[in-house]
Amino acid sequence: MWRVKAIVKLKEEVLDVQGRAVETAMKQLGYQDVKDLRIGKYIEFVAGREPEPGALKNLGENLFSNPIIETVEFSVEPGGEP
Amino acid sequence: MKAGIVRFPGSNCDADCFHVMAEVLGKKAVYLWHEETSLHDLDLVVLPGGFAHGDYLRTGAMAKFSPILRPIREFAKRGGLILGICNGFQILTEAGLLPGALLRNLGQKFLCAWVDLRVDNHETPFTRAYAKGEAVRMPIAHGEGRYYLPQEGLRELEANRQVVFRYAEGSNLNGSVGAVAGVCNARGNVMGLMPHPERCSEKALGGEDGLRVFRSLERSLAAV
Repeated sequence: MWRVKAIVKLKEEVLDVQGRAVETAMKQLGYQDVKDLRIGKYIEFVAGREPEPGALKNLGENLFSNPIIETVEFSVEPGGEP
Repeated sequence: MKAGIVRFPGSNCDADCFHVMAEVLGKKAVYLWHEETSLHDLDLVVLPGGFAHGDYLRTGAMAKFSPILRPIREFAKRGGLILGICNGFQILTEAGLLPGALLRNLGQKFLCAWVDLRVDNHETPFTRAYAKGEAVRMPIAHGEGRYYLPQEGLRELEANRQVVFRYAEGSNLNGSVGAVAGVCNARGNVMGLMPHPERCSEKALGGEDGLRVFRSLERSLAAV
């Protein structure tokens, strides 16, 4: 069994309004010396077979992310309940 | 004119579109469930507003895997007319049938308001009943209506006259790049817009500027 993890982020050039809002809240909480807060998505699943890079690329570009506005990175490690 | 209005789980503006087609225009309209695999003899497909698939993951992201997208893509290839309104527009961009992407509104808030638009291309099958550069008013109701396309893409879009509707000065509330409110594909047979023409197709609802999107389509199909 393989545990696949993916992090989806907005591309650098895309304005992250959610991140901006949370950064403002963070400053209101007292953390003044912070900047560039961005929010992404974390996705994980368990695969019965070791995923091939081609399959992950396909999954990343066609479902997990929108390549116009996002990037996606995968990591794969053994694990998960059969 | 026979229109098919697609219903995804979570679509909620389907009835309003049906009403405009069937009651206001008096044309044939049918609903298409997202799992259907044929468009039968339709000459117009409408993707209505709402929250298809709960807007989960990304708005419109999972609709592209619905079975009905296959006949819709073939229909688009053949030059069939497809109109995407709000969530429908989001679905068309995710499906790659229209350029760009729709992001969270600039101010983070869901916007529900009347806006002023300008008809930037009055020569599409969706806008031929409007005058060149005409100023119109339509309501918006969306949380993710900020149109985005990288700069080179936007330049190409403008050069090809694919920007159909633009928010007027002071009306670009969601922060869309180039104040883009609606675009069509290069061929001009697929159009998506964030404002709701079906919500302003009768005077009693506050305005009739949206009706001419449907009248344009009626005219375009009658000419064939």
